[in-house]
Amino acid sequence: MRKIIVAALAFLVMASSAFAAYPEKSIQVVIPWGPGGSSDISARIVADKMKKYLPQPLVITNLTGALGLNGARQVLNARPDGYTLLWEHPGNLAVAPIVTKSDFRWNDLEPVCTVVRSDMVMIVPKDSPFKNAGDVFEAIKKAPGTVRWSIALNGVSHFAYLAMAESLGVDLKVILVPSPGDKARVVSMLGGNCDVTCVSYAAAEPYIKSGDIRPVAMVNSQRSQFAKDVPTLIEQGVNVTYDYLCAVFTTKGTPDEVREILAEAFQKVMKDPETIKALEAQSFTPDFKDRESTVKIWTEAATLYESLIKKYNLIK
Amino acid sequence: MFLDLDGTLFVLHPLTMLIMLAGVFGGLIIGAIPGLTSAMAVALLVPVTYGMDAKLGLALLVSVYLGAISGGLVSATLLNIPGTPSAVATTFDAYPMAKRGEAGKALAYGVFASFCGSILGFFALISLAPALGRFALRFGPYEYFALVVFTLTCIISIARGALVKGFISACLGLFLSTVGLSSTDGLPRFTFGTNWLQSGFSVMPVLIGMFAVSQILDDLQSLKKPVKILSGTFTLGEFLRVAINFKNSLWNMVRSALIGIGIGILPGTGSGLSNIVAYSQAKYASKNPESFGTGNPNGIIASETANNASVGGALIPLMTLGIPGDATTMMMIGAFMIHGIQPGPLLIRDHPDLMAVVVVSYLVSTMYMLLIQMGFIRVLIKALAVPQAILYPVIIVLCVMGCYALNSNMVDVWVFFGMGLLGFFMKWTGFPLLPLVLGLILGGMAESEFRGSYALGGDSLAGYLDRPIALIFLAVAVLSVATALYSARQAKKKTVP
Repeated sequence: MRKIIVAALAFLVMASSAFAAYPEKSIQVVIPWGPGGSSDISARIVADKMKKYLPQPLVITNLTGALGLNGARQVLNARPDGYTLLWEHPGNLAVAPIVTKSDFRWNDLEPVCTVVRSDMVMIVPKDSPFKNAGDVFEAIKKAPGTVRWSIALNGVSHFAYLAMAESLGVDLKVILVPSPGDKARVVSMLGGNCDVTCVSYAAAEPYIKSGDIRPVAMVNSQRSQFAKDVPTLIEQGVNVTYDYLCAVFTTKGTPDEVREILAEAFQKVMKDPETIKALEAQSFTPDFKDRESTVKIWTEAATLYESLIKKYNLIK
Repeated sequence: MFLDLDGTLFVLHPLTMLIMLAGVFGGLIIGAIPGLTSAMAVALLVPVTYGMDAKLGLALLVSVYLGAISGGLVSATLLNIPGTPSAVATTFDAYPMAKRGEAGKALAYGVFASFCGSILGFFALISLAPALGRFALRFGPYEYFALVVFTLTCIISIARGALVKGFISACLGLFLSTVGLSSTDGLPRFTFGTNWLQSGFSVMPVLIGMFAVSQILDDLQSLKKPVKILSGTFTLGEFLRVAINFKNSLWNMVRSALIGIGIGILPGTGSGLSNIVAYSQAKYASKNPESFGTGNPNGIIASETANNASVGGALIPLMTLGIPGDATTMMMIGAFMIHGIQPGPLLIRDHPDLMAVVVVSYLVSTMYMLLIQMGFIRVLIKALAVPQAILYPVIIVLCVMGCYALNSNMVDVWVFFGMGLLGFFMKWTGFPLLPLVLGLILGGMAESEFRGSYALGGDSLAGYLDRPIALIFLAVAVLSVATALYSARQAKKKTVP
């Protein structure tokens, strides 16, 4: 009997110390995109500053392929112990599994918190006649099927375009030029192959500064701190917003205690002036949101995308 | 162009020079190992450079990039296995020459051509960078699609007579490129509802599977025979003789370098394409094209000059516009960004020191590459004296590691073995392997650019009529197929009276 009690006590001590000690080894953060991209940069900055707030390092792993789903799947199938995290934004993970007809959805993963925001901007070439978003929509209505609008098919920029058409209540007939990736759309604009597109502000910034590209509207809910004089779409009468909100996920079944330790550490690191400075240098804004708001944002985004996919019959 | 003094002095600092020496050396080894590529080497190193000074990180990345592109020469020449896509065309003539017992000479040609390609790429980088960068932007979907079609016709010159079988092989490659999630709209194709086909067929496992496994299976048949070591002497004298011989191939070298630089500048394409295009153009231009593929030094020169020149080319849009020229430079952007520098049109104005670092470290790495390779060719030839029974298992293990490291995905390893068996079967039945690989490399690009051009033209192909560059490429492509078919017919008439 004594043996059993000792064993039970020992087990209890071990079990409780296992949680108390989290994290007792390094934590892997899966970036489903290659090194050098915007997800990668923001995650690496945060991981670097996290050293102060967690006893173990966050180790970045780039797992690319299949539109970011390879990385997501790695976290989906990991052991639910909080040592494998995913860094993703709803513009991809809330929609890619639907488009690719995969066997899981974003909510099969466990949200921890939202960490970083990056702004989205609507841009035109420097010599474009469009001065604001209204000009763009007027031109499209006046001559349907002539304005060239660059999008990533079934990606955020595509949904942003569809949402604008929804909000205006008209069929915005344009030439949709497919080019996946922010960089590709900027190149397409610099090369004179599109008249308007939406990209993350970070991707467009160097070209806005050099004068090759002009911003006409921010697609955010509020004006961006990096471009204070560019009005939002809402200010210009188009009820569309999109914020690139990167969230951290872990595997379903991870103990709540572990998730809370992580969320607390992220909350602290996002308030650190050093983190803020490093992120803002890359046009990212620290934007911590707890689990509940994260779930809300993602559910709303997924619902919107799903309704647009259905309405415009995007997936045959 | 005026070079910033701070940046130049930084590169010439002894510590930087030492780290770059290690970078070139490491790059050469990674490039020489089948299955490890320059993109992989840079992907591994980019996170390491985050902790460094921005200038040091850039110098290191440039040195590794150049080293890895040059290293592919070794396994291509001595084993007939292109370690990276950028050394594919090198195998055609370097291996036959090595087999004749002139491994040292073949390597000397390769090394010297790499050197010349790098130097010409360097001059393009310092003299024409801004103008060339802007020109590259003119390439839209129309031009890219036409260029891809034109590159596909290079199959004619590399199919070596087996024209019909070459086309079948290329079509198989094009088909394989459609498997997985479409890069344009993300919809799944030919995945049979499974997860493991979603990523499709990556180029690397297919390339090294086709070439390495099939080559090794081929050689297994002769394993019991007395070992025939690729014997070769390599002396400084021989190297100098090769260098002097180069004056006969001056035009070939310049043409290949121009092709390499041009393809390098275009965003999204790089040394993987340029070596094949340069090889086929050298063959077209040659007075005795039938000697290509049997150990003609001009084949080695074309391929190796072009792939190294592409490095200089790929750096041009990166430095002038912040747009990566190929997969490797795409990752180098991260090395800038982590230090708060946004690569873009203002980079040269705002950070002239960084431009100087890239340019000068490129030149220094080229010198290192020449010196290290001259010193190591002798060692490498010795290394190949290892009996095949020991060497080949090691190579297979390295290939498997390289394939797995690509995406940490076992599917790529199975693709590697599967493609090896297919490659062996194709070789045995007389189907050339390279068209398949080329089809796979170009297929995805051809499709997305074609869709882009079709959409741009308002869902029609009329847009092509306004694009002279695209039309020229397409016309040359059609002409070269027509002449090849015509001359094949003439040859048949002669042999069958």
